[in-house]
Amino acid sequence: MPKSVRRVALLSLILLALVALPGPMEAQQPRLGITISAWFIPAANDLFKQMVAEWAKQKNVTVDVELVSEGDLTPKFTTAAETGAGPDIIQVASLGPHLFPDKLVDVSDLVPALESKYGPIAQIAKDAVVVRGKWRAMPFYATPQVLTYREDILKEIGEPVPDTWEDALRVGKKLKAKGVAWGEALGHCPVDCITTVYSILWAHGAKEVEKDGRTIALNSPETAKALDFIKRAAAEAWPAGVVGWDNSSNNRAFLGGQLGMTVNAATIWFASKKQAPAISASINHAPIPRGPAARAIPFWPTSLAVFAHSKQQALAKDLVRHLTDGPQMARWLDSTEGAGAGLLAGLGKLEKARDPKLAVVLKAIEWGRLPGWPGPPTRESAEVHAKYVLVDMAQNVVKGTPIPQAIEQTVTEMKRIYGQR
Amino acid sequence: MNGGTGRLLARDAVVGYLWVTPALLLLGSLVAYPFLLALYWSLTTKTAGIPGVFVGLDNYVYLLGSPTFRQTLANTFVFTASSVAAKLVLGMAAALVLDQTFRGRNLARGVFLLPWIVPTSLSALAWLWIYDDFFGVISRVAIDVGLRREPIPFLSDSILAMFAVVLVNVWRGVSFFTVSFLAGMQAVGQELYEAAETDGAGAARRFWHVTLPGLRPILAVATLFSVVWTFSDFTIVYIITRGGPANSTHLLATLAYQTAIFGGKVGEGLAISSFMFPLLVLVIFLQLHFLRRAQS
Amino acid sequence: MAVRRGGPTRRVLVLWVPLVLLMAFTLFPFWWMLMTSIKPDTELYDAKQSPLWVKAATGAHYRDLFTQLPFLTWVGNSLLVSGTATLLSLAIGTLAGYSLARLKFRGATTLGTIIFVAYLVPTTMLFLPLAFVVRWLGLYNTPWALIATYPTFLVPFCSWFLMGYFKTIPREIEECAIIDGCSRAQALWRIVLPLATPGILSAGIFAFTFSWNEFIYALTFVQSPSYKTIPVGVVGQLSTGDVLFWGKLMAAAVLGSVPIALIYSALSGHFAAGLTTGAVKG
Repeated sequence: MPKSVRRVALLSLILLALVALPGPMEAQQPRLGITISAWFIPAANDLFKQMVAEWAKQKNVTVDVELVSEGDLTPKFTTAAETGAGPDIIQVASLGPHLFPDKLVDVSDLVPALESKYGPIAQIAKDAVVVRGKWRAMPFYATPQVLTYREDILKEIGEPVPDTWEDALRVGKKLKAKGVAWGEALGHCPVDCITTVYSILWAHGAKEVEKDGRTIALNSPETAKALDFIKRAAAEAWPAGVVGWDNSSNNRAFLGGQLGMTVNAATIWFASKKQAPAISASINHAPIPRGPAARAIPFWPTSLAVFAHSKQQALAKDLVRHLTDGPQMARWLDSTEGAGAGLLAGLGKLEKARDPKLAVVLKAIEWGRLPGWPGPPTRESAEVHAKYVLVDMAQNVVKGTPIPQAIEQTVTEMKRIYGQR
Repeated sequence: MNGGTGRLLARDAVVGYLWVTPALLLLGSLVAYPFLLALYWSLTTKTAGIPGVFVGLDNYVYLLGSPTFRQTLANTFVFTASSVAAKLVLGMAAALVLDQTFRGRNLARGVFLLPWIVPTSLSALAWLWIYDDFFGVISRVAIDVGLRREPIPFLSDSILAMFAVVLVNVWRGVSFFTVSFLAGMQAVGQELYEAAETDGAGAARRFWHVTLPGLRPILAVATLFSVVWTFSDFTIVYIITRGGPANSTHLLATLAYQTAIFGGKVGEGLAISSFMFPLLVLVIFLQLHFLRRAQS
Repeated sequence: MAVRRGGPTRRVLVLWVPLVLLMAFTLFPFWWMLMTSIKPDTELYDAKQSPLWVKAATGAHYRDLFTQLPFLTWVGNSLLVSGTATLLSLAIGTLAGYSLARLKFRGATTLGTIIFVAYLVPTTMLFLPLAFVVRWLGLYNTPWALIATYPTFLVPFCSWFLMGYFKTIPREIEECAIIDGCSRAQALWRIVLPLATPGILSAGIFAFTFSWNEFIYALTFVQSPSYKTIPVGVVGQLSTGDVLFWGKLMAAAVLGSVPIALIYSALSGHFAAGLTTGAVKG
């Protein structure tokens, strides 16, 4: 046997022994795990860890803070709910609490104290976490999306900031001629792509289901109008590849000077300060365009939930209380430099003054809707959302499928999901 | 001598069973059991966190009637067939090149292994940017050189998107064939080559009559494994196209994941995954069948 | 009549041209990754800059990997998990592979098929029920969760790979020794293994890179940052929603792969030496 292999074998036996040896008794202190989605601002991540550490020190507890990418949060959430293998506390996106409410601890008792001090929690955030009268998670924050645009370019083409989608299309055509297009994602991506399709559908008055949350209402003239708009926008203004865009495509393109207008969270403006300083000063934000029926945007409140499988439920609840309490939320939101929006009405007085460019970020909450609107958030609407059913409908139309056919195919798919014939 | 052989065979049997046991124990507890559990769940309406109702083959029937699933099935076969074929041919070519003696050969062999070594999630991200509309290297070069006026729609055209993910899979996986072939080539006796040369055989005939037959066991095993991996590939499509555009690049693994984890329909997702299993068994069986026919 | 070997032209055609093409195909994404990892952010996001060249190289991304992230910890974890899982799997796989290749006993083919069929169960199907088992065994959130579960896909691979490899080694050598009184175990240890070193090294390198690369189990079974492996840690913290830190991601990709390539280059010598000697002629 070659000497090198023998040596490697020996080394690994030693390693194995080291691993197998019981570690120094870290089990003295109770141990908690919390998983959140990593922020693109490293300082915000650090602040979060610090806030957790402050609490942990007080309580004499060890806490493991895990940062995962946004896309990996759902798998963690689902797996943990399913198998019991997961952190004690997890950040939940959007409709998550409606998916398995019984696997999350009831935190209703944390709410009165919070609201009495800092005012009511935003209704949409409530809708996302209250299931059958019980609070299954504590609202944390949101990253509302706004129309991000280049002031200098708009001035050059002599256009004001568009207010309606049709305005946006008109401006978009001029932007395309200038080589600094208007673009919206239409791929299979969890945030931007959903925003594009749902906002335009709702703006034109289309809806997935009726208020009862079960009657499928997609087949309507409003839906057809919305799809027609998407088709025209894709043909006349948007860059050719939007059907393949993911969440970061419009960011990159905007920062690289290829895009002059797009709907996004304030991340583009923030990233531009370091990555594209030349255009940073001319980036500004406006409300998402509105349509004939409404100004609406799918909303992404995130919340913090405690798993029922946690062995430290009381401690976990207390950590959640600490993190969602006024002072911590204010510090946290400050560290996000305005890209994050608080969900407590009274938080404003605690936060630092925001850059005026970010004022519209806060306002965007009032236009927020959850998937499944106007029905209540349900498991089925979450599934339609997760499977990109409506996005596929838009993709097919852009690729040439006649609108009535696309709608019909989608309704069939939805009926399957809603368990109807 | 008979008694000796008999004892030898009996000892062999004991040793045989003994030495196979660790593998069986491991696989029994950590594969067979979870697999049966998953199979059971696929027969229910299980959604994440909520136990389901037993519905027999309902999920499977639903899937077979779903256009998305049928397309995914087709995608998976196209992806696997084209990718494995390309990897086999390129891998053999590369092995022939890297088997020759030249200065820097060891370094070249190491370099060649790099695509295989880089964590897939990271190299897939790199390729995502390489295929990008605005920043992608390939589009940029094509435009600069004058071949095209617009970026190549790698990610938004259905056919190009499939080509794009196959290319990444091939780029990653060729090294496996090459290394396997190289190791196998070492085992082919030098004297066989010498005999063939003295017989007047040129390089091509030496390859066909000496190298290839000698490599047959390794080739069979390598192809088998490559088919399995490629068929169940997940990361590349997940990161680069997420199954789009319009589900034209969804593979069974990515569709299953999207359905179970993001759609919350665990039962249905596991049913999709379960489809992979008999299909793979079928493909493997066919391969082995052809192999045995070729050998006899 | 001596066979015409052909001069330098032939060598260029048969060696250098294909070699250059091969290297170009293999390396161009790496070249891009390397360039990206040393490009400052401002240059990276400027669409007018060439993606294949860098104007103002910077080591900031590499530095940030170590200062802003527990990269070193992740490397350590990856090494520990991959190394241990590989050795375990090689051991189990060698025993199983040898038995199936050489020993005749009832049910050998069936067992071999079972081992291989276990391999066909996709990890994207297994990870959910396996999470149950991992938790039940108390391994959740420890390196052992991975060290114990990685062999589930490494062992079938090693067994079958080595089985195919053992079959290329002529039986006569061991048979001689056994007739001389060796036990099977001794024959394996003293005779077959040294001959099979290239195959074992190949299997080992593959097994190591499978473990190194593995994502889903690492994401699902481990929660504490101090136990994470490179792929999960890096992607988790550097691809945040719609902002990806390309410079650092590519720096991690480079650092995460070059060491193994170097190891392989070094071990590559073992492949060149040895088999084509008298031992084979026996």
